[in-house]
Amino acid sequence: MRAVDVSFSMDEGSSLALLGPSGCGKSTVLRMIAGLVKPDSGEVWLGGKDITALTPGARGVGMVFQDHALFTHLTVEDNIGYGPVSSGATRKESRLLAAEWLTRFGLEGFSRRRVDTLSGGERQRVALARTLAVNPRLVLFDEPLSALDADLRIRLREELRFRQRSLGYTAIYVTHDVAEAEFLANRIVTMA
Amino acid sequence: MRPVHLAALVLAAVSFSVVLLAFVVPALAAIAPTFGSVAASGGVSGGIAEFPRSLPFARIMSALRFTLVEALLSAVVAVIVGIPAALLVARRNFPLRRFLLSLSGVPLCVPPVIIALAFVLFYGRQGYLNVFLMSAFGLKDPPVTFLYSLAGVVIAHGFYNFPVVLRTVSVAWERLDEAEEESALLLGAGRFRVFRTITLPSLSGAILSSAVLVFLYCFFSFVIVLLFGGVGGTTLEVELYQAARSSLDFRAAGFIATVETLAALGIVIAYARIDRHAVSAFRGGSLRERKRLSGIGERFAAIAYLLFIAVFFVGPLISIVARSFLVFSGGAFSGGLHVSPSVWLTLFGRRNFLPALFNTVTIALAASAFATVAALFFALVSDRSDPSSGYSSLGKTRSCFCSRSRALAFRVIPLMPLAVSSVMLGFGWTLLAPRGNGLVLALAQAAIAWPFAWTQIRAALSRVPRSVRDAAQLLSPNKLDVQFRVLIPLVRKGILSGAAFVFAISAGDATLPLVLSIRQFENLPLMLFRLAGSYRFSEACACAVFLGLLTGFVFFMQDAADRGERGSP
Repeated sequence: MRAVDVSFSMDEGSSLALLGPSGCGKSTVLRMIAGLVKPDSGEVWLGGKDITALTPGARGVGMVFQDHALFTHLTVEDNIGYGPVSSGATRKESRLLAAEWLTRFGLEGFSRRRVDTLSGGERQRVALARTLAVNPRLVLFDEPLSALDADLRIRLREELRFRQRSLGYTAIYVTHDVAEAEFLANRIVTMA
Repeated sequence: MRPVHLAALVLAAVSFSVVLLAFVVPALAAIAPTFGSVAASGGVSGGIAEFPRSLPFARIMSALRFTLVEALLSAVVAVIVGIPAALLVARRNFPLRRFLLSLSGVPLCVPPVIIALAFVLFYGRQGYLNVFLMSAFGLKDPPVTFLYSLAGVVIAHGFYNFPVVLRTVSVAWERLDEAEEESALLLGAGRFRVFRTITLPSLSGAILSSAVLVFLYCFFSFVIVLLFGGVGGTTLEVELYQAARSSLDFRAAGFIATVETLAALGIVIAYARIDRHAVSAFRGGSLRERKRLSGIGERFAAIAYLLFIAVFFVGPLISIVARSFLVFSGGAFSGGLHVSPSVWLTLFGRRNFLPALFNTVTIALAASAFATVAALFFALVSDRSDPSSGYSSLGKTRSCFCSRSRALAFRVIPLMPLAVSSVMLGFGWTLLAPRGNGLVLALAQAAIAWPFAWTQIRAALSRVPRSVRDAAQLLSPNKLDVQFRVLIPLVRKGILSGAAFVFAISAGDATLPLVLSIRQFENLPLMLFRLAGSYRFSEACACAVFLGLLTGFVFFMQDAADRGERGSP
């Protein structure tokens, strides 16, 4: 097991890329920020608060996974509504919210679809909407584009940048692709 | 944490504890008489055995020898019969492929008591096989007489369990890396040489692991040996049953229980090791294309094999159905023979048929509920905290003592029921609760069968990617949402098929009802056993068909729902 030792900070509303070869521990850093892995030492601060001891669900951190990790037993709208329901929204409220997000992402009419019938691009949008529906202070992207073919990768990275700029959420991208990092982020942290 | 989830969690934890205790306490009670004073153990039986008895040591050792030999030979037969089936199912496309594959459900959904009856009807002195051979060749004496001997036990066990080999080996075979075989062919090796030097060694893990499983099943087989063993020898299970129920020598019973558990424990540990290797060896390979049967030799071999299975394995099962509808009038087999529902009407007309059906279904439902909830609880807890499961929420896999011993516990607990026989557990229960009842029966069955539900649930859980667990954790501040709102709904098919397995096992189980011998209690397996024992074969057959429909129906329901997905038995 190798040690991962990093330190960085970023401004609210900005975007940052963690760049490095596979196996260098960038995903571990992301998982530490999310609370999925406990660091041996050190702290994670978000919005002036030390969140190191908080559980993943209580940190206000969202994450978009490489495989999107959509819940296949739920419809598109219930995937998006999963977070809001978890924090106390009623079913009706969460469905209204989901409808809003679907409109925003150009997915009107998709609310009752099964997630395994979606295309790669549609999945990514649903995954992003699901993450943003709980208003996280920080959104993490773990190799969001590496599983896609070249054409789709170019299209979706444009979409990711557009969403981040227009909605103004704070984003950290993990990637091993320099061009992708430069395209998506204001700042790049290199790991080796 | 939501109150509903908390309540469900507590209930599940209680169920799991109950099922675990229903296993551990009677298991300990069963071996306790070995170490206790003779008088004390005799006292339980109501003063019959107040005088100290010496252990029938020689007898027990000869039973141990017979058991080991019988189980070993049975496993060999199962492997020999199973490997061609695995080859056909994994690598070839032919009209009866799905049918052959569906036979893999037989060991789980056809209870041993039905297999025993089927073999008597087919291979018995007056069985269909002998009747056919005698009339075909004009023989006076039945030529097939092996049934009530070691050979009979071995052949019944081997045929009954070959689908275990079929299932495990065909799954491995489907995922073998084709490149290795192809490069061997390119290097000039013949087809048989490739099979012997490349294919067989790669499959050895799967073959060995299924063989060990069959060995264990046969080591603890009870009903079949009880019926066919007799003169040639008996197994430890039958000796234990006789010591516990007829000679009331509890010290001997305890001693036998100790011996067989120690022997089985060694095998289970070996199995746990092999199974891990076997699984890791063929994980990751992709499914291969199945070829059509080609060439005369291959076709001939396939047809001969399928015919062999159809006659000697499916034949006995079909003869049960046939016998339940055929009525003889006027003498021997050649006499008037016609189809009639009269046997069925007699069966349904029995005073205790409906109570027996009711008992069978309610107890199977209860056992299935206990076992499934316990299995689900255990699967989810180990999913959360077993470092070797890979989805541990503890983050890092440190090899400290506590996490390693926990990993060991998570591996060993579900294997424990493999090392303890139904007869021994039932014996332990009779010491604890001499007047058994339906609840005791359901609990004892759940205690033995819950790992069957667990393997189904675990297999389904292992198909859920880690990212889905992570996403669920990040999206909800409620701790149990991952389990209750994501994992359980995602693995519901696995849960259902696990429940179906336990239902089938419980509904078809004659062993525990026999050992517990609850007063004035009747269920279908017992009824079947008694009908066969009193040579009312036609009625026994009708009862067997009915029971087989009950256990098989549940199995095929889940099989249909589960089509395409896969979980090993």
